[in-house]
Amino acid sequence: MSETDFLFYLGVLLFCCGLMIVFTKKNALLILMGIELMLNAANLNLVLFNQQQTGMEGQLFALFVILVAVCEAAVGIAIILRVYHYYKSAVPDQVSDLKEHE
Amino acid sequence: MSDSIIILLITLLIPLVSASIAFSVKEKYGWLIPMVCSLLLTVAAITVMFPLFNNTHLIEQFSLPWLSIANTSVSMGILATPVTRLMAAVVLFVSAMVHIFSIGYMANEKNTDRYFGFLGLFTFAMLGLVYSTNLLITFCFWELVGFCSYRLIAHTQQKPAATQAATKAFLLTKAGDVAFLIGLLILWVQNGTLELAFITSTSGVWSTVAGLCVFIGVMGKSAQFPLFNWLPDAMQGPTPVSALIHAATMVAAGIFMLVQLVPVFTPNTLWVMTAVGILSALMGAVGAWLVTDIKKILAYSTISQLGFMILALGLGETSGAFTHLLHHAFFKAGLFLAAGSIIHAMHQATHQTEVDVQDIRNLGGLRKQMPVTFIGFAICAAALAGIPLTSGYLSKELILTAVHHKNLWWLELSVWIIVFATPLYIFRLLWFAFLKPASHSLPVNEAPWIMRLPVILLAIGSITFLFRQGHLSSFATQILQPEIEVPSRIVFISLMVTGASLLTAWLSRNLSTRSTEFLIQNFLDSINLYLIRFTTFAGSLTTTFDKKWIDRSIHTLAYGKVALAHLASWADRNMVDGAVHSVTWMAHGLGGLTRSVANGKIQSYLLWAMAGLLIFIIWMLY
Repeated sequence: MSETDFLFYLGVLLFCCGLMIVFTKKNALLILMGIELMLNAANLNLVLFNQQQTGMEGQLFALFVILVAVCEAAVGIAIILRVYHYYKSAVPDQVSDLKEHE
Repeated sequence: MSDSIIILLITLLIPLVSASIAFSVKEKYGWLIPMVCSLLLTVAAITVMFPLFNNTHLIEQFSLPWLSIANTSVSMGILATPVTRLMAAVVLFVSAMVHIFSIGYMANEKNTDRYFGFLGLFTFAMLGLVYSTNLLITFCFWELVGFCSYRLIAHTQQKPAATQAATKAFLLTKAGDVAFLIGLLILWVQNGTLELAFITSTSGVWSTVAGLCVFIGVMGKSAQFPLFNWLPDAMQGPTPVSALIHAATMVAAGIFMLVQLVPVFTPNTLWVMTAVGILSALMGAVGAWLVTDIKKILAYSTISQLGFMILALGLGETSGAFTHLLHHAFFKAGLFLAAGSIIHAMHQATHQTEVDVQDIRNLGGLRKQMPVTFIGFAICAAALAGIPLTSGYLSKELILTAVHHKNLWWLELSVWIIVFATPLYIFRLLWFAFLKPASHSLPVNEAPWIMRLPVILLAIGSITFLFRQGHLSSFATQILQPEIEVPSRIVFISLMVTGASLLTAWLSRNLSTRSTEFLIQNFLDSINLYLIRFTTFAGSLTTTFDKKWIDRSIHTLAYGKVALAHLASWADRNMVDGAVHSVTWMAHGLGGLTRSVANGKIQSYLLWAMAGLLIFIIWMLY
């Protein structure tokens, strides 16, 4: 087993942490942060797999993912701001207009 | 329907029309009522005469089914026999006379609409009773007659005595009516029908009981011993009403009923009738001799005469009794209307002074002041006394003949006493009212012509010449029983007795008139009191029975029903409703389960999506 193998476990750990944050946190901003964590776990995997072969596609794709993540964070935060402005709350549980009320 | 039936139907409806006009006309046109009603009744009285002169012996019947229960049916219809035609003619004639008289008598009174309305209804009820073919319908009209007389006796409502007298009359006649109804029911069971044409006497004790029950009803209606005390009290009503009650409607209904039901009575019942008749006739005569109120004298005289008729019926002399009833209608109505004229004239003369104008001791000397009324009164009184050349003489001879044929000394003796007593009291009345020198100096004027006319007409109706068709038979006897032979011995003795009676009356004319009416009133009232006590006792017995057994069983039944209802309601709620509820509960639960996934929380959606993805991946890999 090579010395970089434990980094795969780190990626899995990061992804699971991100997933748990997305599932459990109440605030929308924190959920957004969980998503960033999951994206970074994916980036780590891209970089690691790129080490084992020739070429730079993996590292470039990782760079691309960071770019997309930045855009995604900007759009997400903008949506959260609008939601907060409209509902006076950034908690997704309280935004349930489409649900049938009992 | 033949012509004769149609004429009778028209005469039946005219009084009803008259009554409804009187009840419905507005107060503004109230002055029209007496004229219109009198005119209508006069028309009816003339109409009803026509069938009398042709087809006198024809018996016709027209009836329609009225109601049917199971296989018994009751029909209503019109029975046209010589008896009903004659009776209807007399009823309508007397009623028309009373109506015409009332125009004058009630001229200054209030409530004439009510008065004339009930007069019309009274006449209608009596005619319905006369025409009816079925005893059940007859009973309905019988009750209607009683009700109308109750309202008319109580006409002057401001007099408490009038109201009390009306109540007394109503209750006493009702006491008889209960027995009458029982008698009718027994007859119904025995004959299977109440059609007058089919009712016969069947042997056995029940037939006697039925006859006695019917007779008790007649006792109440026709004021016979012991239910006769209401009639003198009923004198509180207006005088024309008394004339109608005594001559044609109320008390005549009882006698007429007996005439119609002659086949029903067994020999035992007939003996009871004879006894009651004698007793009533004697008591009535004594009562008439003792009292001093002009109207009460006439009332007791009616009791006596009705007793005389019932005595004749008991002896089987139906046509004699019926003839006497018709003759009595004429002269008694005449007497009452003449008495009404006197009271009216005296009221006008005395104005507000405290003089009892009905007390004969305050009257006197009216012969010169009211000559027309005097002549009318005298003729009617002669007819009542049975003096020859009057109608009363004819019917009296018929009854005396029947008594003579029975050959019983006590019967003959009592009848002679009655014959002796009648002229005695009526002459006393005539003496005190008209002949005696006046004890007052009031300016009494003759009654208006509209009140004199009926008196004169009724007096003419009481004279033999009008009736006479052949030897010793009136128009009525001609129709009912063409051949009658009166033994010369009877004629002789009756003339002797009447003459002796008149002589006694003349000799004793100034006898002190110390009133013993309190004695007789108290005696009679106590008899009635015992009757009422007995009835109350019987009533309380039946009430106890009712409460103890009938009410209790009804309660038990009701409790059982309520318990059953509770059981059914429980089953409904828990078993039927429960099944329905469980189905809805299952559907609801299932829906809730499937819906619970879509709870509106983004993170739970993500969780489920993740779980789905995982399952999908695991399924793809292995």
